[in-house]
Amino acid sequence: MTTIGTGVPSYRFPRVTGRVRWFRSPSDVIASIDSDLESTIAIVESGGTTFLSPILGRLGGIICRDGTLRSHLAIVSREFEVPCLVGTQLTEVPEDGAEVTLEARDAETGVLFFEDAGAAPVTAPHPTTGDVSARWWDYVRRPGDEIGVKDFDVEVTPADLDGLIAEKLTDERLDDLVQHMGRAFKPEMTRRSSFTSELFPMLPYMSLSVIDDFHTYAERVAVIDAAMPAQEIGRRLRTAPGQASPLWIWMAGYHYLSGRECLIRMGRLRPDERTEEIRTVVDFWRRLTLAHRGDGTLDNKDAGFTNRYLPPDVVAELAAGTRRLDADGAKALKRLNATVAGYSFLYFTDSRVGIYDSGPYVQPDGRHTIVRDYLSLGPSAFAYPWAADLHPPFAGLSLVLTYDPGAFTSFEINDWGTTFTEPDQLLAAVTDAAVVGHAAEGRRVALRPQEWADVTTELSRSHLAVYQRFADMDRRERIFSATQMYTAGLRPFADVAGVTDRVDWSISPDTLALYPDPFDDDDQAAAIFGTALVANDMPGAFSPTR
Amino acid sequence: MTVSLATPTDLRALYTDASYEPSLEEWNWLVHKAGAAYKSELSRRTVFESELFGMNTYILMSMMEDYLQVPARLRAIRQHATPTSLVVDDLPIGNKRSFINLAAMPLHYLTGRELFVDLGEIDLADGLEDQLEVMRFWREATIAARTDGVLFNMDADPPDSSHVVGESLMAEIRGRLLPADDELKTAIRKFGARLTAYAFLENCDARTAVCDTGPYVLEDGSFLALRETCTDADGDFPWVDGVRETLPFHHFVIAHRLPGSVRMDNNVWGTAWFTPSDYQADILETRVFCTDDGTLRPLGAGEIEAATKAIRSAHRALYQRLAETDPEERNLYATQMYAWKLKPWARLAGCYDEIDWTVTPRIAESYARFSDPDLALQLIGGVFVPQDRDGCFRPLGGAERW
Repeated sequence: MTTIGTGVPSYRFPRVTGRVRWFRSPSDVIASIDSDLESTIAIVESGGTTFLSPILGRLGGIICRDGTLRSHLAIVSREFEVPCLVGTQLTEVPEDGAEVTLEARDAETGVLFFEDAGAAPVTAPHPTTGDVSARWWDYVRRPGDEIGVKDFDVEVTPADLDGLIAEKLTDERLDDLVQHMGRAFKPEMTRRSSFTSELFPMLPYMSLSVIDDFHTYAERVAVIDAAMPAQEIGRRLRTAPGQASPLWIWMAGYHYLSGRECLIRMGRLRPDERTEEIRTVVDFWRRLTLAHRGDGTLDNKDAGFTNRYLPPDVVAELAAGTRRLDADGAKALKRLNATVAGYSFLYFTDSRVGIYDSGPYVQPDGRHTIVRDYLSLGPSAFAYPWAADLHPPFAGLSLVLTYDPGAFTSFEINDWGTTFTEPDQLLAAVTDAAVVGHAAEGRRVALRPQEWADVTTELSRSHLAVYQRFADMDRRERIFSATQMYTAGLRPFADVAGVTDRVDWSISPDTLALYPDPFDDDDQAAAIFGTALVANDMPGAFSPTR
Repeated sequence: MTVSLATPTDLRALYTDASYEPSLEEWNWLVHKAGAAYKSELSRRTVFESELFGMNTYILMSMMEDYLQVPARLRAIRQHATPTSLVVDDLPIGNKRSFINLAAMPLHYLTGRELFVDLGEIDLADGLEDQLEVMRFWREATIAARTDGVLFNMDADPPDSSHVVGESLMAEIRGRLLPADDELKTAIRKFGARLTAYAFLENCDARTAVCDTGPYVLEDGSFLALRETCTDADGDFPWVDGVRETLPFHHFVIAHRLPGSVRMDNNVWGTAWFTPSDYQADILETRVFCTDDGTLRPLGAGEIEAATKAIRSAHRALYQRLAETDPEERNLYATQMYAWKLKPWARLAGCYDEIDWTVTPRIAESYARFSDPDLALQLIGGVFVPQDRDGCFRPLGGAERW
């Protein structure tokens, strides 16, 4: 299958295949009035409806190179139930007679493709990787809007993606990428309202952990990447839910650069120092992200605040396991979710990094589904000491939540995998749900609603055990436990690459030297962390690399 | 000079009391509100072109023609009837004086004003009395037409809805609805699609003959959506001569009752969007009505089938005719189509023949200039999606900005 165009479907139509016929003037339309057009895919330039109107209802499909969902052609094709893509960007221009297929992937994305590229007459060559590369780097360089959002306007085929991943990260591109990341990161930090926890001194441990990432990641990444390239790890991690989430991938790059920024702010590092290390880590993150996301985007916000990394067959399997929620089921689901969320926050030292929402995935009936992963509930690749002897019922859980998108006026999943909706009661809108347990050996277990309460009870026991352990710790132990929580961030990737034992996971002496002065002091930590990443005069959070 | 955008203190009077004369500040508040909604809607469309009709060109010409002609025509109509009487004396749905026609009246006229200003032919201070004439007619007629106590769809309850049907007519419609089995839904969908496509063609690729009102929310959470589609029955459009006579019916209302899980958003000029977009599978009850004689007559399955076939034949004939028409002539048809929005009002008022409907010669001749697609796009873009203001229109009375 070779994708040759993308557009906006006028409605959620079923896949249709037919032969291309160009219509350029009314005489073309009149000449076809008495033809059998059911297998004809008409291609037109603009979105007026009258041009095709005498034959519109009999066409197999329509490709319009201009227009929006509000164009007349979109309105009338929907009335006729004739598959139609408007605003179609063609990367190849099929000739009359070429066999093409139209497919509405979701409410906003439709594709045109050749089932068999070899059989298709084509007049224009497919853009070279160089073209895609140039446009992709243009995307990286664009500043975006006031919160760093920018439309991702590059059609990236699997071959293009391979080409992008294989590119060398030159000095210029490294700086472009760091600036892109900084512009994406700063608004998220600015919008975040709180860095407080009753149990964990958050700013001390966040500062120490990101600084330790800067001190250690280049060496760790080199070991992992040599054993298994980042892109291969990314491909493996996108095959199923419940694995190292996109958030941990995100942290691999962003936390590392946050540590660099803190050190610059403290006067311990110049922006032009350790460039090769920065290149090593940022390039690892870049390849890992591209391979995991699979669509050429780097961030949820540039993908319309979505992350649809799971393959369609996996989503279909998960969605097939959902059941309509009655009042009792809805109540049990809310209780389970609240319990697991509370436990996950504690397990990850009052942080959200154990939870990740992916999607929304569009279902054939138009409803949407998100998959909420609770990543690690017991002993895991993270090797946290406080979890070593826990015995939760499952290593992880995934909640499959289906809802009517019309219930929300706004629906966004940010780069941290947190869903923001308007109205804000997501679970109240969920009509169908499934709960999937991830067994330690990787097997997925569908949990019936009557089993949800048992899981809730068992997790409550684990919650108490972990809480007791943290409560027994003094301040220093809590700070370094939480630091370790974050600095173990590359462990899941090392686990996939099979090199966990070849990496030094200890906290760097350079990091330890920053405790207790200044990072035992909450105010100093807040000043360093805050001014480094938010309260600076740069357009983004991160300093240029050159 | 700027104009304040403070919300008027007595919105109730502004929205519902036809005898109340708004101040210039209040008129400007309405102009700004309309312009912002218009810009918001237009900025979501990228295409104003068609292989058959040069849409940007005829939009320019017709809206400038509106600016030149509409005030005098409205004064002529007022000599015979008030806007209120013209609305209340007839069925509120299923005729060419529909909500979309009424909503377009000030939007098109004020677009024409913007174009003349941008072309340097008038100043912002010019023509205030003419402008208020148009605004007054629109406001009075809208107050009479709407049953929801607002002037714009975005202010209605629910937001982005319009309501023109009163209780007794609503009861009559609901009493005639039929359960929507698959066979009926398919038949009505095909009829609706065929009719919509024909209406677009007859109106030169404009949607002015297809008007949505609703959602009319019902007591059980479901809602009624009404789509009026009116073809030319009276001889307004000469390019339909000989074709209109082949249609058995001309004015239609299609009613659907839909579940609350479907969302209907009705924009500022009365075009509805449904979520999910393939809402037709969710229709609970439905019916096609004919309103040719000023009453609501439900059509049977045989009549719908006959109408569908007739519309299809008429469509072919009209398409053939338009395709063979010289592009400049075609463009004149389209200019007339938009510029003749007052014809059905004049017919009802009884003064159709008193009005000279000829397109102003200088406007007809401007085709030579405005058929340049780049110039047309530049001028239209400057009004529809202006970069220097948040709405399409500048204040009335001479101020340059809000």
